[in-house]
Amino acid sequence: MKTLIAFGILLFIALIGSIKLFNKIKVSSCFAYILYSGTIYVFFGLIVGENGFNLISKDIIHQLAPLINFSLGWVGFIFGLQFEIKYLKRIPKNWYLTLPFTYLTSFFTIVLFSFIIFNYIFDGLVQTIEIALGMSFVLAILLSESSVSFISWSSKFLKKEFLGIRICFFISAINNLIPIILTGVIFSLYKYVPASNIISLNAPKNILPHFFIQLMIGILSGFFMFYLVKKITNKLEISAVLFGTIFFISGLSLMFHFSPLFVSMLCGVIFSNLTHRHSYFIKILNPTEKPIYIIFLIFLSLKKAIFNKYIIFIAIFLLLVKFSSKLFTFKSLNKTKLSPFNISPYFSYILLPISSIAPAILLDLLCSYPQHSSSIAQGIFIIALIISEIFSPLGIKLLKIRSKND
Amino acid sequence: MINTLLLIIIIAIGIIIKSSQQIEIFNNATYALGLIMLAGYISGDLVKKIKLPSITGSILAGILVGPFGLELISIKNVDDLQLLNGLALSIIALTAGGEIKLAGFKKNLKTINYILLFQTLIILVGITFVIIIFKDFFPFISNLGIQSIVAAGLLVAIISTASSPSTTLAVIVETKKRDRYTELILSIVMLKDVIILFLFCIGLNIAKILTKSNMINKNIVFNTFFEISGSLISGIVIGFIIVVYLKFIKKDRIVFILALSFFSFEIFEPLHLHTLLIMMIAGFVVENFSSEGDSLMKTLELISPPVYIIFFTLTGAAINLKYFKSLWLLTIIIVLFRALFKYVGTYIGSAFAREEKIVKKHLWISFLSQAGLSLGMAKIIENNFSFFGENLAVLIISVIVVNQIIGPPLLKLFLDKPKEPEIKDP
Repeated sequence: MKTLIAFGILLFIALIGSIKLFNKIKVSSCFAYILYSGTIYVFFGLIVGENGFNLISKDIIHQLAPLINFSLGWVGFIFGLQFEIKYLKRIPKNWYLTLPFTYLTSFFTIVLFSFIIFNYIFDGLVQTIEIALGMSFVLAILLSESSVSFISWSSKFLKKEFLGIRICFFISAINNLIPIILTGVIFSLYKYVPASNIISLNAPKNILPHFFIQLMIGILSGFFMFYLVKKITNKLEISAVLFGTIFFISGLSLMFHFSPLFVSMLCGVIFSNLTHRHSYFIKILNPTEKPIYIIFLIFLSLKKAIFNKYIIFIAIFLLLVKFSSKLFTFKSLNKTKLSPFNISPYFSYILLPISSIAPAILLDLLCSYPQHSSSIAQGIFIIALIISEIFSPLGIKLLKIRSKND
Repeated sequence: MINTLLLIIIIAIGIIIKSSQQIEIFNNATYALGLIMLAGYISGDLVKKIKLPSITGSILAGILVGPFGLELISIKNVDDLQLLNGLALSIIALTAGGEIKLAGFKKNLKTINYILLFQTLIILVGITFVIIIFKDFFPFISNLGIQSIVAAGLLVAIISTASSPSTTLAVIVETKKRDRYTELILSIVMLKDVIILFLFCIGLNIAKILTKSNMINKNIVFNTFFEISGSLISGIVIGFIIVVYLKFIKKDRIVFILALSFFSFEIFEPLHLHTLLIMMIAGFVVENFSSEGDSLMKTLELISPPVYIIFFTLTGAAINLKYFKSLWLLTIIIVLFRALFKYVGTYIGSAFAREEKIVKKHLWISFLSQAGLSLGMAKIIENNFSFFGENLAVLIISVIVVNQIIGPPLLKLFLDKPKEPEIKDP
């Protein structure tokens, strides 16, 4: 009974969030953005959950896991649905060649610095070199990501910077796609043994087959879903079949230690490119995205995370690393002949917030690797998320000033 | 063809997973729910081709993949997913209430009253006598005294009176028929549920007196009255909340209805209030006493297909055919006599109300399905009567299983029958 009440509470809060009561606030302050982006629910989760007053018990959080498992699959599917080749072809080819670097440079830099931190500076935080490496990968995946909603919010204040904003939207799409793929890789690289509560590297011979099976399940389920809904015209029946398939895939993923986010995203990509009713499906499914996202934010902060001075230090340090590496990439790309554009490197300021797909990725990992090191990653992420959002409006202001000066 | 293939693929995947025998990971509610939804939907779609209602397909799929069939999902899965039944039942009841229009209800009031009266009376007396007459066929009561046999007969008779509002509504929604007949059927089925709640409480006490049980609860009628009046008031309040939300906030209606249904089931059930009744009243209030009826029904239509699939496939998964196997002859006797008395009761009631021929002759086939409420009552009997309770509950469940399988196609048959066009009031 408590489970349902807890889920009901989550739904109600998600509902209030999705009403967008605060949409009309035009003030460019961090408070306004925290309300707009939904990060306010992180504070709510911190207060009522295991990190605060413990009003929602561990049991309930545990029992909500299947619903979170499904929601992860659902978000992955909706995300994958947006990758329609017909649309992607309209984007200049050299964007594909250059813009992934905006993610990858940050990713590798954060991996490097995190590894140094966990293996040499605060080596007491994690037990083995394997886990230190895994933690570095996870933090790099999460922190290199850029928030789509912040770019959307920034566009209100940067109406003259049309091209820059358009490129930033594209970058943030890439910055969300690559992390999901890398999450799939993490699931193939690391296994979790519940009996001994140990995370360890998979045997090298198993890594590629595991990743290949994830890939195939995602692709085949895309075909499966397409054939199932091919002849259905009734919108209501379509929703039933989509729900059923995503539940099935997410459940299978959980059983075989696959990433539901990654597998469902692949399903969405395949389905999106097979069906002729792409925009119709997007229209049906998009309204579900916001409430699920809010549920993720609350759930993420409900679960016990580790917070201490080291965690805060690491979060701030890694954000600075991200900030510098993005700025460096923009400057470097502008200097190369490869670059298809010449926009101000200060656009990298608005790529700082990290709240798009990252909470979903972290939950995906927390559900499959419920171990001490995951709670450390969770703590670092929550601190980084809050800090990046507090400073986010400053990014817009700085960008405006720098652009004027240039 | 492609759907059959997809169903085979799903079942094959299920068998592979089951054969892996990893019990810990096999108890995965997300996977089980996906399997139930897909198997339920595809089977529903397949049986439509032979003109059966899709819920029959969903029930059969549930039996097939469930823990008493191919065991592709475990009993724990079914138990875990029963949580969703609460949500589904609330949504179904809300829809049922919204389907009843006050004007139509008033117009049909005479017929509703007469059919309810005669159906209830004839089934109560008839089934009790059947049990007494055929007592030698029932080994678990044949050696008992006549008073205990009458008690058992009375309990079976009360439960036999019930029909399933959820099944009735699901078939009506699927056929997309909205006319005087659908309103008549829904009104009778829903009102009957309220009457049976009272009857069962009284019947339970009479049976306890007859069997000289020392667990007689003198306050049971008062408690029932309290529960039903409490449910009525709660229903009006919930209806009011829905109206306020739909009128002033408007956004994200699906999330609102889902959250409200979750809350209602989980808050009212522990208070011994009847969620089914509460949500029916709420739906009725929104439909008939506000301008938000259309908005509510449109929202419910968006949620209902997955809800029906989950609800009825889970119903199927919980069906244990071993009950039927052990008591098939007795089951058939009760099912046949129940159907006969439903026919007689409906015929006499319709004749008194001067109803048209189709109502007199064929309406009875709409009342055969049985589900939730009857199952709940069977459990109460099992817990209250040590001499025959367990066996009687098995018999009742077995009868419900048969009625739940034959009921939906017969209801669809009635709805599909050509009828005289309705004459509208000038």
